[in-house]
Amino acid sequence: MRLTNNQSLEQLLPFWQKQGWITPENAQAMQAYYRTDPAQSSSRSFSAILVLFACLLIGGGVITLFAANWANLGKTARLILSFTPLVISQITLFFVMKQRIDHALWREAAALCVAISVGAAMGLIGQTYQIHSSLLNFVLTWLLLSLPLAYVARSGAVMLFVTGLIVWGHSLGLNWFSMQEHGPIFTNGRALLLLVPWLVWQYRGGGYMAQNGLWRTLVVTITLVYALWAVIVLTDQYRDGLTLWILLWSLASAVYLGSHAFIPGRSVLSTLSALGLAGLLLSAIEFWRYGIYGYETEATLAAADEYSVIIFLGLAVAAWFARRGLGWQRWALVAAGFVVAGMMALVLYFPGSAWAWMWVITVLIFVLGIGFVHRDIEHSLVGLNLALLWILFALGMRFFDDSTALWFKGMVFIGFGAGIIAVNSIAIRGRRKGEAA
Amino acid sequence: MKLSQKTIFTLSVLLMVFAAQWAVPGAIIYQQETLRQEGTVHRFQVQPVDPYDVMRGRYVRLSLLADQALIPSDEENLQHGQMVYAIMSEDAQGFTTLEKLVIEPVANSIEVRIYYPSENTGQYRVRLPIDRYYLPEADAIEVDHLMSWRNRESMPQASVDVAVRNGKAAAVGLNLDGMPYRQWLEAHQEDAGQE
Repeated sequence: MRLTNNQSLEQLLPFWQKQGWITPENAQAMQAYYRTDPAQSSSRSFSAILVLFACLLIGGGVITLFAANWANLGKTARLILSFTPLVISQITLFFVMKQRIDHALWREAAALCVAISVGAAMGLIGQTYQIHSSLLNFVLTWLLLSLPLAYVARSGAVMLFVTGLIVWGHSLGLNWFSMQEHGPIFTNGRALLLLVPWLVWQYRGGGYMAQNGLWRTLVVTITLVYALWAVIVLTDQYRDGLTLWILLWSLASAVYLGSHAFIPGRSVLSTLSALGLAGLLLSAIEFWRYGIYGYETEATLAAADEYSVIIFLGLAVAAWFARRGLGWQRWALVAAGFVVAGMMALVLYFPGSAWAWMWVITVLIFVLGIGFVHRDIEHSLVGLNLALLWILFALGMRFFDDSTALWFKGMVFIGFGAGIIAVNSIAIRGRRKGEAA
Repeated sequence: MKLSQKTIFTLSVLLMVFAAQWAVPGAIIYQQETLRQEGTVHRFQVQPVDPYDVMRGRYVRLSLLADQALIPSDEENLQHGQMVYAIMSEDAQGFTTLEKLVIEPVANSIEVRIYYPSENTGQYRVRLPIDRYYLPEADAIEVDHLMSWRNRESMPQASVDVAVRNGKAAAVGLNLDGMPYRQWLEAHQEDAGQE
């Protein structure tokens, strides 16, 4: 029997007892130990990350409020504001690397903040000076300035972020004219080669915790998805909704089956589900726009990252059933993959329905998020925060998508950041009271 | 606290990464400031549309009429995506037009990219490096609102001022009916009520 990290202690203990390797007392002792300290430590760390994220949201909200009054600020004030987040995050990362280098949480959070601030600084300067570089060049520069952070700060979070930039660059660069004008880096998945040194480094023991599994799964999935696009585009099969449906479904199943070999740790799946939803919502604009206007080829290409997200969703559903101990996750994946792939195929086949699906997905995620908050507020900080992330992305995406006033968006971000901090602090306090009692 | 050699090395590399993160936006600022101070301003006629960029805010997309013309060149086999220089001149209305494409920069030329080579005609469509003009959100909404109810005949004539230095270009102003767009907005405040 091959042991994988997907198997939980709860699944393994009865098996070990049956084999006579441990006594029932041993099993109880192990259960008692692992159900308390490590789990709590892990969920509190996650909670702390979310609080940092909430601080970023509040910071973003404040910047948005400044941006709402951008016209009234002088050039010097704009430039100072553009560099402020970068300076603060760089100073934080420097001190973390100097004094708390072994504290993964601080290092990850600070490095990610620097990576995000670099893009923010360039975007704001570009706006101030009316710079007309392409979005593709912007993404490429952002990627190249962020990538070294992953190695220097040993940050899996930055590597995931860079992977996201690569996917974004690919979906921008898939247009033939863009490829001709902006060079081949984002053509045919070549930018994925930037991840190879990280893969080698992790493989040779440079990695830590379970994050190598997280990013590796993401890369494997994205690579498979790009392979699928090539098949779809080259054979012109995208015009046939049923074929597309079956291809997507097959790919989702293949990735799931492969995931047993690639993904260590169940928590990776739940993290992927949150990342997947974020990706779906954040990258959907081009897809829906192309879909609405009926450019089927572009819609198929631009939807590439959506395919990978759909696969993540399928995996998440499967993981959810697996955690319930129902033991039929494979069937769950088959069903989920079939339904969501079919949904995407329908949108691609009937581009006019894109608006409807955009809102169906947003409302679905919002309702699910509220439901999970309700369910998890007493039980799981991880579940609670993932649910908050769902709602946040659902709200955020629709805000980016429309012309709601900037000051209102800024207030929503500040309110939501404060809400995440408040909900976490209430949940942690409630849990401590429960433990004391 | 005494730092280990490994930590000192890591911190040094980190500082170099930070320096690069400053150098890129810093170089952009230096280049843009020089361009604005020392460049010559040319006015290009445009057709504005109003999209929204998630990452970079609201802007007016500029469709330059110069981008739609076929520009002759003595050079053969210019390829799509190739960077060349267009010699500029001025038409009777004071708008800048592109006369001829050359490989090397000459006086009064601007860097353009070959967009669509015409088969064996020696004429090419090009793209200028100006395709958008960022507006404060309130201004963008107002321009959009004021222009949305106008028909083609009553649309203001839009143009963009472009500073050019050594072939490099940067947009420095958006004009409607020959006046800076803000001035035009103030002059047409009352039009909004006509919708």
